[in-house]
Amino acid sequence: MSRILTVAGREFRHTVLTKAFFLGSVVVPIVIVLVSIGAEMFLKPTIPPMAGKLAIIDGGPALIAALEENLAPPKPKTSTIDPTQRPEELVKAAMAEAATQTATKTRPDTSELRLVSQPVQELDAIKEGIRDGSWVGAIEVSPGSLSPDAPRGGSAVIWLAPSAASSHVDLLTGSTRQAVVDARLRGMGMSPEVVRAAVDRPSIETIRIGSGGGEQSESKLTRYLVPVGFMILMWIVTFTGGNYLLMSTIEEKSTRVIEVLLSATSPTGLLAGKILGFAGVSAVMLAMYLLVAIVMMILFAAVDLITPGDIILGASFFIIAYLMLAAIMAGIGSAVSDITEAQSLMGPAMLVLMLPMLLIPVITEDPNGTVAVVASFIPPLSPFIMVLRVAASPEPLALFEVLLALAWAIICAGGMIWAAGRIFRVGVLMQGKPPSPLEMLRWIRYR
Amino acid sequence: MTDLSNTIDIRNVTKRFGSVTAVQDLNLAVPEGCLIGFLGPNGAGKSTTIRMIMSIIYADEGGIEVLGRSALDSKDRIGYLPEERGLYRRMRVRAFLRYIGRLKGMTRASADASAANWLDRLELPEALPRRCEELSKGQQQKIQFVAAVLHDPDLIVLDEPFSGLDPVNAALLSGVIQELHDQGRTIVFSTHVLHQAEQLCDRIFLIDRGVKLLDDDIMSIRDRFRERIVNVELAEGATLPSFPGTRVVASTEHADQYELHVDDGVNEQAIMRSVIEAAPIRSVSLREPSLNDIFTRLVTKGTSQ
Repeated sequence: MSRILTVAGREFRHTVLTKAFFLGSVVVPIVIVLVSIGAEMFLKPTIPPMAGKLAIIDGGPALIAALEENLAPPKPKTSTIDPTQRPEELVKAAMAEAATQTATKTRPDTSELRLVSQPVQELDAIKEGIRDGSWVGAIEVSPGSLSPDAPRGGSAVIWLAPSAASSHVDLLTGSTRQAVVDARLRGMGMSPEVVRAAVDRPSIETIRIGSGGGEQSESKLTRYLVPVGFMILMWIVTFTGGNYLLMSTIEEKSTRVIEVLLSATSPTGLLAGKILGFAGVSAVMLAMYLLVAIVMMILFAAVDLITPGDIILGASFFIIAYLMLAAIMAGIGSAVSDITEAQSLMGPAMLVLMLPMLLIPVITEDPNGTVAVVASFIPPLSPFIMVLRVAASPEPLALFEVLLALAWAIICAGGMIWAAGRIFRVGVLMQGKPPSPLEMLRWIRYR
Repeated sequence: MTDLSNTIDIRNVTKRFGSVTAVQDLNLAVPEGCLIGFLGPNGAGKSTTIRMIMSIIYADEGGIEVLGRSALDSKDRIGYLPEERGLYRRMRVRAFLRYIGRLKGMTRASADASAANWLDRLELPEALPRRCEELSKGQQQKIQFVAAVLHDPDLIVLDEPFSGLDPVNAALLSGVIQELHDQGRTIVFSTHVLHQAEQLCDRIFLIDRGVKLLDDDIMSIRDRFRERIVNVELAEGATLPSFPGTRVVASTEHADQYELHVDDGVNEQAIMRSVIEAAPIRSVSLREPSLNDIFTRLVTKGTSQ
């Protein structure tokens, strides 16, 4: 056991205590957290104010009134977030408010903007004024655009200085469109506010009635984002850990240091130490990214989205997924002499390993469908699929099914590690042409 | 029955790789404190035997005991310098030797102290803080030798220890090996350079195509293969007639050099006189067979059979 820990310690230290790992797995998550928290403070966009005269060419009083209304600085709104809301509702409200606040902050200040109606004959002089800065710009709405039967919704032209900020262009474009529609509605005797309220689509909550009589609200956020996010994170972290194991095995084999190691410990002990060491590496990576996720959830007051049961199950399936990937990577790493040879064997393995990603839409759409259930029992897909199913299922999965899948995954992981150990024992001493996958399977039977 | 005075006991061991039998029904006993040379042509089964002694691979049939226990249980008491040598390129020498020492059951402090001591002995103390990739091939070779002896093993297995070393460093290493032998360590020494084996070893194990051809101490081997050989170097353009009671072997390297293997009961002095009288010569001398002669004879005989 002490040898296993010695090997594990070396693999862990020589991977984690490197600049590449520090940058990729520690600095990047910390930067994500800092950017998320500090974006408000450090990344405030500088929006130049829109001040001066804006010419409205041949605009009638209805259009000018509608434009003045749309270009006026927005009035401050009171928060609609109710802390007593359910977590998913709270997240939705917080995200909506954050979006509104962002839109307000990126809108140019128009408190010093003055709209001036001008005849079309003055347009050339106004264009000259736009060039020398005496006019902010000019809007010319084509005749007939305010009529309800204007072809293709009417049209308008906005003249601006070459140096005009894109936020100015966006504001004038959006406001002109809205003003034309508002003026048109008022001309028809309708209130734009009333019409907008009438066409505002309702929010709909889906509630599934459980077989046990309970009710569960269905939120797209909890149903898709959390399980898919965790599964992708699990895939990335286990794959990266497995890849480190592959590279380390190839290095030891290609530099011939493997034989010195095997003179000190058994192939099984060496493999066990490597798997343990890189499990630690994967755990550090997972911890760093989970830290980011937890900070995000705290920021959005959504910690309740994850239960302790989810954490235990997620950790169990993470360990199993890592062991399965480690077994595949160790088998491949021991059989080849360099990374080019490894790539040829990684091709078929990658096809299988990519399946959980490809199956995301199928599993989240129907977590209890035939594909989902069958894939739950196929290694190495099972841990990834089960994480998706447990989190995405509108109704909790039957406990026996979860336990059965867990037990089966543990047996399969054990079998894969055993087979990898047999392949590793033979492969690390082989030189020359890399074996075919079939030949590697034959190595399992070697004494 | 295991003889406790034997460091290595190999009994009826057979090892196959697919359809190839690498070692066949091998029996070998290496006495404690012995410096034994493992000799044999390429692919003879030397490395396979060594790997089985190190329990890196396992025999299909038969059994191996090392230091009175199974080979696997004795790993901490064996030092091994493999033929295929390597180091972690980016690792520092101190960290590498500490890692190997820890794997061999040493504490961190004792591994560090032993590494420093051995590098001093091998005149390479400055290597400790350096990365392995920064060292020359010969220096890397020395580091790997240190890795093999760091933990003060009772059995030391050295597979081609002098390859890659210049004559000065080869002599230095040879002295260290002799010193370890004098201290009573059992040393298994595999080599293709037969005169090195002849100088260092007190016992020889010769294997060819997985079958043991010879296993005895040097003195007994010399007695057993005692033969008189007359070396003849002819003058340019001269030809050597045949002499009754001898077998003529032409040199493969020099066209005008010959060896006359004198049969039992024939006077070698009379043969030498006959040579001088029969042809113009540059030199004629008498010698006993070297290990190289015995090796060639046994392997050639094995091949012809």
